[in-house]
Amino acid sequence: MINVKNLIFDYPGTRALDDVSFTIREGSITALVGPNGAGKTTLLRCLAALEEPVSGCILMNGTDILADPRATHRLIGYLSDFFGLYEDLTVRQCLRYAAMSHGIPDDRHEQVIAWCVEQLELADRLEMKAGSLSRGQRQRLAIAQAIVHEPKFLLLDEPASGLDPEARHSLAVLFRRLRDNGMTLLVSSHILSELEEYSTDMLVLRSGRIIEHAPLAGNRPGTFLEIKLASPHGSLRDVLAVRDNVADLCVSDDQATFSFSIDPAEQYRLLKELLDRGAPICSFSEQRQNLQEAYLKTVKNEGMQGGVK
Amino acid sequence: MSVNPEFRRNLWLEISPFRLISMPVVLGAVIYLAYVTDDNQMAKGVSSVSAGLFFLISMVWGTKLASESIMNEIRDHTWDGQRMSVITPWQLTWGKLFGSTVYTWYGALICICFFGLSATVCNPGNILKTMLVLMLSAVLAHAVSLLASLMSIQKGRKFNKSQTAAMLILGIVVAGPFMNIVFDSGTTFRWFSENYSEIDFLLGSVLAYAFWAIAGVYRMIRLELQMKNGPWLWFCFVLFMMLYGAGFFHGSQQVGSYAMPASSPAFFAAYCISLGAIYVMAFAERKDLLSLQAVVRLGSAGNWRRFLERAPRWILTLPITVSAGIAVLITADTANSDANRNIAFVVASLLFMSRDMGIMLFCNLGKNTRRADMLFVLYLVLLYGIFPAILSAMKVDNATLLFWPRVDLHPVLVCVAALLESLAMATLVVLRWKKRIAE
Repeated sequence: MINVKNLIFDYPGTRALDDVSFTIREGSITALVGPNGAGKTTLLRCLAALEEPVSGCILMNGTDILADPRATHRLIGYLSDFFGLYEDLTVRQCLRYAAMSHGIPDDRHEQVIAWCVEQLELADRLEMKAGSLSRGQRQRLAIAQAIVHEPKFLLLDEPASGLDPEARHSLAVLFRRLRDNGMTLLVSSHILSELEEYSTDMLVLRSGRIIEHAPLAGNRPGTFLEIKLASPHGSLRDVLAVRDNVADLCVSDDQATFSFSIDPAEQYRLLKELLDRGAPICSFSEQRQNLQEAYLKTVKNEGMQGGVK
Repeated sequence: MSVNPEFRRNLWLEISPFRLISMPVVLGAVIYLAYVTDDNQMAKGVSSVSAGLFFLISMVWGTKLASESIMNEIRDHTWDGQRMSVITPWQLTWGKLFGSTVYTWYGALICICFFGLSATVCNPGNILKTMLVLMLSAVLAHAVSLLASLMSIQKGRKFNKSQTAAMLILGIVVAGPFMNIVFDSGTTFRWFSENYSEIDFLLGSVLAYAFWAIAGVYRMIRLELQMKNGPWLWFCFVLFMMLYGAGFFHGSQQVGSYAMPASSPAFFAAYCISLGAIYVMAFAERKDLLSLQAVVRLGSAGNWRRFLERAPRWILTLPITVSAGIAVLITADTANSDANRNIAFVVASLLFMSRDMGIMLFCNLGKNTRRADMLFVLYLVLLYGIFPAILSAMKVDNATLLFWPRVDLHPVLVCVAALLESLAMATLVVLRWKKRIAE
């Protein structure tokens, strides 16, 4: 588990992270989203113990990374947005160096290299120089280097930027596989459709503050419903606002979207109550909320509230 | 036993069968040319050419590679990977220092073997010592340029070609004088009233300096790996330098052009060295608002351990300098009528130093700090060079007490001028600090 408390980070003249607190559950893939300059890269670099914040606390499996950054490097794999490779080394040498530098004994190098190239589909490129790889292959090699020591936490900053759709899809498959192997992933990206393929949670950062941190719709115990009325009717708001099992409510006089129980009987009771109150319902449907919508809704709500969630 | 990962990576990159063959072929050809042109003798011609090649390969080429070893990692975005590894700071230190230069060491060792075989000195012990001095000089040059690049990283993670050249020149300038050993002038060094032969003294000195430079690299790499450093090694280095410098003046009557008959020149030299250390670190370290704020916060919270780890070394050197100044005064011969001049010099130089540090802070607390250090240099040139020169040219020499700790003028006047400037600068710094904090 990653537990961040009251994290503050300053650049000259700018507060990049402003009292950031959140918890990332084990075995999740959290999408770290937010506009440019929101503080995503700074947050990832703080979590990777590459930058020292002004104040705050970061616990990784209970270990305070600010107190002992070196110890936590064994637990973390990190891929920077501007990652680099040793261009003149072969893929095998790059992975061997990564294994050596993470303290893996010599007699296990071949084994971990084999595991990495299998995971990243680089087996046929082992003797090629890193400098001669394609963009997608370079990205995969960089990820292979980051996971060579099988870290508990993998932090990835824009891992799919510049990749073609096929390479992005194979990356999504890889991330899900790594999660199934017990890793916890935090992935920052601008490409929300790409994150949607594998993310279980969403962490929204804006102007250095967390404005939303929640499981994505598909990972919640309930479902997402949409009700449309033929004409505006006040009962819609009245009924939905007072029900305990309604969450994430976004309502106008003629339309509402909200999280609700997946139980058909519960859904029937809600529909019946609305009809009994005379609401002119023309549509009552389950809606698959995508990451893009969730993000935009969060940003919109935050803008309306004008504050921090 | 597992080989240092960083060293092994450098071996992969630097050593290939072709390179292993080409180096001795090229060097062998050049040295053979020297041999045949020197009447087929392994004598002075071969010795000079070998020493020259050693200088070019180890001091110029090797120092360039050492200074670029970290810069290239930053430029190629691979440095974060190393910082996140579990390679120890010591492994990274010697992996970078000897790994990045491994190929030049291969060539340098060939050259030094020919130098040893062709040396005209009869004493085999001295030949070995000379070879040792040459090799340690190269290590010193590499370590100094690597240290300079690491210090530069701490200030900002961008490099340009002029910085690389500066680090190369710095390494050569620091270690170059030890290379003079090949000329074997037979000079003796007098240090703490003892006479030492040139070779023994240079060997001891270069060994000590190489140790300190490598220790500096090690400490800077620790910082890069997010480990904390106390100031103790820095204090030891400053004290070593003070002692080393004082040794030359022990028993002498003056330090440079300053005749200080009322005090011990050795203490006076030590004081000047500690003063110099403050200026060196003032240039070398980060001085931005954020890092200074962090230090002030730690001090205010009474977190002294963290304060000592984070505080700029130039600030921490102040107590040593003040103590050395007091030692100069204590050791002064109070019966001597020049004692007041000593007091004036020490007090005024401390006040001028605080004024200069004020200027440095004032420049670095501005909104645009990109050229703050250059601005600081410019002010120093104006204050210590141009303005006094103008006053001298205008035949108002006495007015230069505004810029220099003049020992030939009335002590009170000298101190008051320095005090007023120091107070004025302190006020400006406090005002700018408050303004920036409020923003």
